[in-house]
Amino acid sequence: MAYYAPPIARLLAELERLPGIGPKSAQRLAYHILRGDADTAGRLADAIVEVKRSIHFCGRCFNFAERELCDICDDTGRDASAICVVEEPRDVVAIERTGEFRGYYHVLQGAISPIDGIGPDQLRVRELVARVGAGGITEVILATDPDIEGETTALYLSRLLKPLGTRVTRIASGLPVGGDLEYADEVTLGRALEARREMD
Amino acid sequence: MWITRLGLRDFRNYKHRDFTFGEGLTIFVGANATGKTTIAEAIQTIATGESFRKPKWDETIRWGCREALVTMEAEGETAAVSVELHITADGRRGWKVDGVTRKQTRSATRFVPVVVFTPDDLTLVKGPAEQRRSAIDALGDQLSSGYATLRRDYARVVRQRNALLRDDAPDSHLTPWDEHLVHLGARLHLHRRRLLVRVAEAAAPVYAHISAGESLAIVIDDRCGIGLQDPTRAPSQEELETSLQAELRHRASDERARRTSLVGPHRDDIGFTLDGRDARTFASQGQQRTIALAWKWAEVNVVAGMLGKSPVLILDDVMSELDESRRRALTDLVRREGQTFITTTNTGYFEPGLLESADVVTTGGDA
Ligand SMILES: [Zn+2]
Repeated sequence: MAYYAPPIARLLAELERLPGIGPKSAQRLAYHILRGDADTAGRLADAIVEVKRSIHFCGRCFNFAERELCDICDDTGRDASAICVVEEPRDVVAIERTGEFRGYYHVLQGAISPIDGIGPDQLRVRELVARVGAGGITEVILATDPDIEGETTALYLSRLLKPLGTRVTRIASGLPVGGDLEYADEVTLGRALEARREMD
Repeated sequence: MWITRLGLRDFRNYKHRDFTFGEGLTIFVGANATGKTTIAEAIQTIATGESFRKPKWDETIRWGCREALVTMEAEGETAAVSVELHITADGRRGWKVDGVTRKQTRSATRFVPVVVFTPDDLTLVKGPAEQRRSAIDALGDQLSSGYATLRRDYARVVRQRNALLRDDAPDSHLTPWDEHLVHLGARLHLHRRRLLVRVAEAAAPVYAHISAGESLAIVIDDRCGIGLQDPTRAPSQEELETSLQAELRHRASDERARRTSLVGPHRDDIGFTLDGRDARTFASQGQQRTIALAWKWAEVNVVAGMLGKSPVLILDDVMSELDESRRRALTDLVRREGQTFITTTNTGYFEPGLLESADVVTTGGDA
């Protein structure tokens, strides 16, 4: 039985696939789009298509990039001996804002979480090992989130990277418990970087 | 602090109801299914963020409504606070304290400590181990946000680790979770032990008083490989971590075979002895109920001792489950300092003296 005209049903189905959007929110968004004018809807549709067309993942660090490499990897003026490992591209933004780190990044695109079916193979771990294995890296800073999954990911990576002969450090956990890096205020995150410690 | 006002809007079967409370005893009287327990639940929920009915939160919204609202005003010697809880159809809860939004339940629910006693608590001795673990952990959560965080983190480690064991994941994937399990598990076990010592010290004299001299002790039956039954004999964090590690190695093949985490404080049990004999096997039903009563009484004293304020006591329909002598004991607890709410079908359970000092509210009719 069809409650909605097929184009509306299709829009609702797509909206409901977005994170945090249930049937009710999808309905609200769909009605908002329907009530608005065609230009507004067109701009939204264009922005979605454009972002997918122009932005992809950096071939080296897996941050968002407009070209083959992201702006950071493209910048040859940075310290090539240090890699800072984070979970998401938004964490790169947070750390860049502190101005405390001048090396390069590696974005795992998540953290280990077996209940969500995410293990090392679902993350950009192999690529990280390859980068470190290629040599020239003297320090890997693990800046995954200070929650259980982020800590576990850090422990796992440290076991994997240490045999490669590089120094592996973890940012200090003076961050709000259970908080994401994204919300950590800049001074705190800067201090957490400064007060990083050797992983045992 | 005591609760001066409670407001319910579209909460369970209540459309719109406001209550004003005194500092002492309030008794809600009504037949079954008149919403007495809902009031008890609302008080616990607005004050602590927890409900003894363990609902999905969207279930607490009145049928056909979009949102439920519970409000509370509380007063102390020096300060007053108002708390608002909005429950929406997606099961989310939004808190406000003095009109200001609070993101975390924790920061909205630290004003009025609560101890709840329901008929389900009477099976403390004979019920599943999980019931006794939750009894001590719920107390710990209320006393310290560190305890609550530790417990939440540890539970998450166990869930994640169980997912790996279910999938038969390689040891290298399990190792970092083992480290967390050992570290957090040791801390949780030690905090529990410390808290159990306090509960045991407060419960023993109460039990002795009600039972005319029998001696109650609390013991720990751990799954951390340490084997120290007496909670006052506490190992160090390092000792416990070492024994947890050894126990993990020792049970590794069992865990693989049963595909679940068998080692750690999530499997600990708590036991009771009367004059040295195991209460689960030897105690009568009456003695077991007295232990449950002594435990609740101990909770009240431990909260008062550690937080420096007497908790609000909620007794939901528990009088009818007790015999005369235990009812009298419970009445003594009610007479202590501090605010108490009792729900009952029958005021005949109460001594006239107690009734005279109480506000009696009849439920039903306008629910
Ligand atoms: Zn890059």
